[in-house]
Amino acid sequence: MRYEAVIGLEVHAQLLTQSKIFCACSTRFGAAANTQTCPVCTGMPGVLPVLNEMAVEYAVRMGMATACTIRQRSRFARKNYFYPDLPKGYQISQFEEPLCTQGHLTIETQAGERTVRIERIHLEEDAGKTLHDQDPDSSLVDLNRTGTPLIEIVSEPDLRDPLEAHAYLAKLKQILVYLEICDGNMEEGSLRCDANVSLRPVGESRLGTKTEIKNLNSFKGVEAALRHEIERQAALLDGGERVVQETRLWDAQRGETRVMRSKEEAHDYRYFPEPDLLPLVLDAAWLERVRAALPELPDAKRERFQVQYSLGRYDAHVLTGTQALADYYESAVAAGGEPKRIANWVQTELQGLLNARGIGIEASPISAASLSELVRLIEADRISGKMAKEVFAEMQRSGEAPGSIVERRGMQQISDRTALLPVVQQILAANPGAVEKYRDGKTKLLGFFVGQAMKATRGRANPQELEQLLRESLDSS
Amino acid sequence: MQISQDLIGRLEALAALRLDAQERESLCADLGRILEYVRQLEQLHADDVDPTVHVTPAQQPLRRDATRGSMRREDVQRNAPDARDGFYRVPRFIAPGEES
Repeated sequence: MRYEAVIGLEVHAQLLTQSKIFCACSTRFGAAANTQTCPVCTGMPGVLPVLNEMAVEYAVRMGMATACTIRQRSRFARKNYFYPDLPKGYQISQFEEPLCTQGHLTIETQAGERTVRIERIHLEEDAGKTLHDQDPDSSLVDLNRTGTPLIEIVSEPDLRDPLEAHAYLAKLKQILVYLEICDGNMEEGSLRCDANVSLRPVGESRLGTKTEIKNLNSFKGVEAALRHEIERQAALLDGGERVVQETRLWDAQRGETRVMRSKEEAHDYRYFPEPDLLPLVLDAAWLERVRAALPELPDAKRERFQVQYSLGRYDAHVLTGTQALADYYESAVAAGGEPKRIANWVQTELQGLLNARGIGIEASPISAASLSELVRLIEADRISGKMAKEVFAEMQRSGEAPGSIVERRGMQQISDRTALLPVVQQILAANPGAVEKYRDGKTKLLGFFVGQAMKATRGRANPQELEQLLRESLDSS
Repeated sequence: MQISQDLIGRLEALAALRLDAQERESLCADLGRILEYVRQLEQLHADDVDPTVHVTPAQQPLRRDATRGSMRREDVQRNAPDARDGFYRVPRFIAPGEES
């Protein structure tokens, strides 16, 4: 039978605050174990949590960026469960009346744009970290991460295949990074994803039994795990068996999901209102200030790029991939040069260079001003596109400005006809056979003459001028 | 609602408590009385009363996002029954290969 997958994602994003959500311990990653804790985040009796205003603002930013309704009055709840990385025996989260509800975002799929609804975004605290591979019969716990602020972003089950799930996650990450509220690093755990998956026969509107998949700690992992889980469920259904509602763990090494035994027992978190925290009330003026300070978001930026710089959708999409790349592009355009030409240079030569070196645009050895200067040299006919690539190679090696490279290496393009004419005459004189064939109709030989002339000028001849001059000389007489 | 032994067993598991037969019996009775009291409360007409989330009519004060020094590890871990290399050491609670 043919099935349709129904997928919803729960994404946890660590917020880039300096301090933890309910205490003043640092959230810095990579400190020695248990050196960033205090009585509040280790759950000592008698302590009280005090909410970090920046965590609230960051969560509100994400809510606004995804068109959520921001609740002016929200509240916190205790989610009760025992786990060694949770010193209080409960996690402070939001259950009823979360901060943000009913949002959406747009993803690009092969079938065009799709809207994915977001059910809620709420604030909560992270748990500690455990190591299981140090000792055969004990686990080791580091509570530095305990109390790091998180937002949990819960999508509606609107995703239909692993590619859409990937696109949705990528879009969330893009927005989080644009908003500067999360670094979006899945491998380091600052962005984490669980998926709910069920299948139903195509055309059926009722939902099938779902499983929850955990441990999706890379973009590739999300896609691979979903693909595997969909196949697993389809095989069960085809064999007349039933899907069991359970939590499964993705094993990236083996490429399979399996039941998570340690969490086999059905969860009953017994949520109740957090008595240590008062309702969070946000006033309208504060919300307006947060809204006014939001940066231009990826979709809006892409549309503006298309209009302002006359770029195609694809180019605009790529160039607005990150805030840093978009800023680089815009400062290059501002320094001068045709926007489309600069777009091409950024996407091909520059991106190629960055990829080869495994660095981001922030670390680009070629500044936006230099790239603009290079493009302007081409546009002023001082160098050809081919020469520009040589200059570019030199720029990345030495960091020298393109104008100075051209000057120093005598790379000025020869556009002057009076300077090119002797070269052309010499080439024609040296190749009488080819000239004859050309005049007999083998006009494809023009390329040969261009090549010869380029060789003679060490690539400095202006290709358009050269071609025209060659044509004139060959066609006359 | 009758508090069954099954329900008590489930609550024990969720609260990580171990009760003996006598404690179960007495807890059963106590919980039964609490539910009875709630049933009385349910008879009140409270349709036009907003639910009380918190007894204090105040709002949540917020803290500036600034760090202060944390506690020294030696001090925090003085309460720990077992620690190793700066980590808390606990019984292994996850099967091999189930690390998440």
